[in-house]
Amino acid sequence: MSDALKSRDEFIAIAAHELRNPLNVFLLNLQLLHRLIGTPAKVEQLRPLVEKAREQVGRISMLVDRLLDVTRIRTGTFELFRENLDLSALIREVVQRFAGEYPAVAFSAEIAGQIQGKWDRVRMDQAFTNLLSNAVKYGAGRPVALGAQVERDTAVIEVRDHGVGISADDLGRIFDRFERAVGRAHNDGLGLGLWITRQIVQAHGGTIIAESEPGKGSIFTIRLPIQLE
Amino acid sequence: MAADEETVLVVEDEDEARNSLMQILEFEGFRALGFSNGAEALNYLMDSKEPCLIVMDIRMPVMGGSEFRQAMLLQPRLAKIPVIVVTALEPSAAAGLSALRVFTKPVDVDALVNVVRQNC
Repeated sequence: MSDALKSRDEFIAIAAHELRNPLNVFLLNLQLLHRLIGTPAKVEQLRPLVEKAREQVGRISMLVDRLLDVTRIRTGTFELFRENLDLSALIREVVQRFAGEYPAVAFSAEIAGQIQGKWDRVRMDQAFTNLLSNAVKYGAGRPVALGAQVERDTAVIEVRDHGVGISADDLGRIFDRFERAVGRAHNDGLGLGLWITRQIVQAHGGTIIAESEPGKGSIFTIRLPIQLE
Repeated sequence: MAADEETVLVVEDEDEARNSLMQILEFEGFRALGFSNGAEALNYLMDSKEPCLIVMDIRMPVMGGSEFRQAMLLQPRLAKIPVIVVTALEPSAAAGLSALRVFTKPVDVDALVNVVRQNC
């Protein structure tokens, strides 16, 4: 079998596997709803189950979007829609969203007042979301710090966790497709997040690097050229 | 120590999946205890009555289902507890685990409850 076909088959197998988890939670919630509907259960008991089922559909949609991103990137149809954007404001929004979703994790942000440039809002949101998701997933519940500053004509964004960290061997491949340094035992995500993040950053003319010490945490640094026109 | 005839252990790292399955089992009249990895469940089993059945995932952090089951099989008291595997992997991933039944996700809940009922 050619490498391309093998790679495609592996990709489909991984995608199918990852879709099974949110589908499972979705179905379990529906089954629970089905049972409760036949009882004098109150609306307040049923509402959270509907909400959880809805969240799982969101998770499935996100996975499908990621699969489509891979196809877009591979076929060269991945486009940026640059607009005037305050990166600081966007980062604050993303941090607030995470702080709401993960109240047990302490998020801190040291962000310059404004970082104006022309970037794709949706894609940059996706890149920061991917990095913060990883920081939470592998952060062992410890604080996550985010920094965003301007150095000359470059925006420098740093996401730091204090979790399990990444070994020197794994650091070289975490930006590859389907790679997840410690993820074999964690069962969500396609192992595509960092690969897509790097594609987004590179499409904006930027770079992303990772530094880590096993057991002490990781730092991901994005450097984006500030383009005003 | 005698077996705990109504208790089912649910060993699953995904909170939503574990909680929903526990609620379904409780709705069906069983007592469900949840653990997010094999190590937690093994720790519980060390000084508790054996449950009537264990429902477990395979891929979990800290201690996965395979390692958990192998540790159980080394101890006669724990080896006899029936295990149902619920996995997002292919069923072949449960080979060698002496599982009573292997379900792939999304799980057929009615079939799973039937197997639990036959053993608890």
